[in-house]
Amino acid sequence: MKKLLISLYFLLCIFLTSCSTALVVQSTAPIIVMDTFVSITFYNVDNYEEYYQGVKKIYNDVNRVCSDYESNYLNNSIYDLNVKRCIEADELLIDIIETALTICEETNGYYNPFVGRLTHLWKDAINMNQILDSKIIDEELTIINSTSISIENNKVSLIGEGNLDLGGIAKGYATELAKKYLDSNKVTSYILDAGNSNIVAGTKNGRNFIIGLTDPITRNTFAKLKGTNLTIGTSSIQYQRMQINDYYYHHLINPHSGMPENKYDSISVLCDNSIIADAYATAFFSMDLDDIKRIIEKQDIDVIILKNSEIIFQTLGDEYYA
Amino acid sequence: MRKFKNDVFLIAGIFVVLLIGLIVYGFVTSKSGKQAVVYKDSEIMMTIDLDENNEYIIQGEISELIIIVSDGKIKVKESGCENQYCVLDGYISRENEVIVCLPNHIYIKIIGSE
Repeated sequence: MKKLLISLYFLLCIFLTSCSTALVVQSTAPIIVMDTFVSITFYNVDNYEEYYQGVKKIYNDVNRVCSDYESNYLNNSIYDLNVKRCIEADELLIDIIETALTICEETNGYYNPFVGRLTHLWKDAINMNQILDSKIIDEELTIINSTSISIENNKVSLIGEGNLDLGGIAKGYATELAKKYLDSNKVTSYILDAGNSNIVAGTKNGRNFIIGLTDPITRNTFAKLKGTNLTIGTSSIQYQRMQINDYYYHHLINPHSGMPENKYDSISVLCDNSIIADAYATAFFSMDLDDIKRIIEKQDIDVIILKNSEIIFQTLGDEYYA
Repeated sequence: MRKFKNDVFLIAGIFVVLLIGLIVYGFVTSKSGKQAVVYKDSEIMMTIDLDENNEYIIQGEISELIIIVSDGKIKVKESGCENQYCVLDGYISRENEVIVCLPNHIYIKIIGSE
C-alpha cells in the first residue's frame, strides 16, 4: 500500500512538472531598421514586452545616427556628416565611428568605413545587370585612400572627398548593445536575429539553440550549430548578386581592389561580440585564407568558410555541431 | 481485506487516468503551435496553421504574393518583386526561420515548433 502511494506521488509529480515547464514562446513583431527586419523571440520571460521595447529603442537610436540616406532631427546623422563634412556628433555616433576605425586598422583595411560610396555604385550597377567601369573603380579607390576623419571632442570632420558609411558595422553595433541591455536585465532566454547576418542566441529556457547556416547558392542548410550564448555574424552572397560567366558580382567589395571577390560563398564568424562578428565577416570575405588564419590566431574567434557547397575551413569543435 | 482491495482498484484507476492524461497532454502539445505569422511592416496580417495544406494570396507594398503551405512547410510561390529573393528562399519549416520580401514589406516567421 505504502509503495503504491509513493509511486502515485512520483507519477503526480512527473505529470505536474511536465505541465508546468511547458515552453512559452513570446514572439514579437519585427523591428524594421537598416533595410532589415530584426526579430526577437523570448522564452518564458516575464515582462518581455518591456524588453522588446528596450531593444527596439536601441536599434532605432543606432539607425538614427548611422543612416547615410536621411538627416535626423538633430542633424547629426552620417548623412549630415557626408553632406556638411563637419557635424556636432553625439557620444553614440562617435563611439561607432571610433570602433569602425579600430576594426579598419585591425583588419588591414579589409573592413573600411570609407568604401560605402563604391559599394553603392556597385549595388546600382548590379541592379542594372552591369559591371562597374574600371576607370570609375580606380577613381573611387583614390578617393577612399585619401579620405580620413578627425574627431575633436564632439566635432567630427571628414577630410577628403570620400563619404563615411557605417552600414558594415551599424547592425552589429546595435545587436551588441541589445545583447548588453538584455544581459544587464538578466534576460538570458531569447534569440535575436538581425536579418540572418547577425544572430545572438542566449538560451532556450536553459536549453541549446540549433542554428542552421544556409548555402547562399543552393539555399540548403550546410551546417547546424548548437549551443547557448552564441553570437554569429555572417557575410555571404545570398542577396544582391548577379552572375556573369561563372563570376558572382555582389555587394561585398574588396576595399583594396574595388572588386567583389569570389574567394568564398559564405563566411560565418563566431565570437562573444556582435560588432567583431559582423565587421570581421565582412573583412574576411575579401581576404586570402592565410591572412584570415593569421588574424584568428590572435583573436578569440571562430570561423566557418564555405565555397562551392563545401566547408573549406572551420575552427569549431565537434561539440558545436548538431 | 476488502478495503485494501478497493484501495488497490482506486489507485490503479488513478494511475490509468493519469497515464491517459499524460498521453493526451503529450499529443496535444507535440502538435501545438506549428504556425507561420505573416507581418506587413510590424503589423500581423495573418497567422497560418502549417498543419493544413493551403494557398493564400496577400497584398504586399508593391505586389500580391502567393503563399503555399504544404506538409508543414511554407514558401512564397510568387511575388511581383524584382529580385525574387523571397521566392528563391523556398520552403521553411523550423522555428524562427523567416522569409523576407523587403520590397513588399512582408516578413514570414515560423513560431512555436522545432
